[in-house]
Amino acid sequence: MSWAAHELESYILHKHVKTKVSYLAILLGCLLPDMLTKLPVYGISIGSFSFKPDVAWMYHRGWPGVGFTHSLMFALVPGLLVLLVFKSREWALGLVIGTAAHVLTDVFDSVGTMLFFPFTTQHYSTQMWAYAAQEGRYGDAAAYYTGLGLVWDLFWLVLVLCHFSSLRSSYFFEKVATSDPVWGWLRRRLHMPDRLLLALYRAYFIYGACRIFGWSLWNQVHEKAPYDLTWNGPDWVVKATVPGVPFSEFARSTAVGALGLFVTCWVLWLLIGRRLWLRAIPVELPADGASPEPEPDADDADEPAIPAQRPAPATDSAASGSAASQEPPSKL
Amino acid sequence: MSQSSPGGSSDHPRTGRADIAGYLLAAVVLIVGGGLLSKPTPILNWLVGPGIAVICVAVTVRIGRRRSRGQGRPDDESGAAE
Repeated sequence: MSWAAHELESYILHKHVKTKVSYLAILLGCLLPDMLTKLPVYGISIGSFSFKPDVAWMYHRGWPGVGFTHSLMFALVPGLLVLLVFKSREWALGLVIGTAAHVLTDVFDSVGTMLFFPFTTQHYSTQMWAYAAQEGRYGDAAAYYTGLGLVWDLFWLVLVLCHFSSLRSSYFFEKVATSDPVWGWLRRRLHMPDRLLLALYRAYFIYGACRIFGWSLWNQVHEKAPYDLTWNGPDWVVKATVPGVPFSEFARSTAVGALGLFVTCWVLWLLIGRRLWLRAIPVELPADGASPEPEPDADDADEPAIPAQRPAPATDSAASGSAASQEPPSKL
Repeated sequence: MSQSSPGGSSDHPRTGRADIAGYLLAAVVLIVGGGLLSKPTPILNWLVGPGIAVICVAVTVRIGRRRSRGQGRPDDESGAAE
């Protein structure tokens, strides 16, 4: 599993998606597959209740287990749900992109992910570093940050730094905040000043970058595990791996899985997705829109850079036609 | 603390010295705290870690604003660093 890469990739993805998409949705998508699954992998105990899977990787990434959360098909679920309930294209797209990115990023460890589940339970893995969740949170951290996982996270950190403009305040107020009414809601309802919103946007970059060095320092101080930057390392940990399959079976599973995914996505789009997409209204927030009714804020004398109200939806794109403009605005 | 972007017409709050101090403080807390206190505390948790970053910026911005007001300067006007 990847660690800081999941937070850091959200900035790159938002920067490179050429349409309006919610950054918060991408971030949530990047965290979603592990959000409810990773804690039990390490073992949880609440009062007298305790749970720890016998085979950590099977529970986390396999089937039977919760490995379906690490599949491309699962990435569609939160997207469709958001389109259905909140009618927000930006959030639906962000969740799909973020969740798919998480699934693809986790392909690099020794267990990999079931990309084409439920059409096949074939795992796809490059075996770049050892999957060691069975060692618990601290053993996993030590294994990850003494192997190529460290290099992987540093790669993403360098990538974000190469896209430093995505962390600038101008980018946040012109691209991020204008693609997502949630930022305006946070300002309006929670009275969060713009600089705090900016800090919230940058928080996962700070956290992602610092956890690389924090865990590395922790390893040096407490665990003292040796570095082993070899492929599929480190060798000092008992790594989890999935049994290999002959190439012919691998190719057959891949063909069935890819075809199943493609056909299902197409059918879902024709039956549900397209209707929900056209019903949803793209958010239209002004880039530097001053609030029509700025609320007095004793703590922050600044003019709000994020519009306090979502304007009435403009005419929809050519795809949606005039009917879409009569729909109510999305709830997000 | 709104300033015009160079070459642009939009008014965005800029990253001031107080904000930068907040980010640096957060980095120190997360790296040193994470390195030394990871085991007994959830400091590098996916909710606590970013929360620490936001709190550090909020605290330093507030302190910076008070100091600016105490010295009779407009709020952190000179602090725009970005």
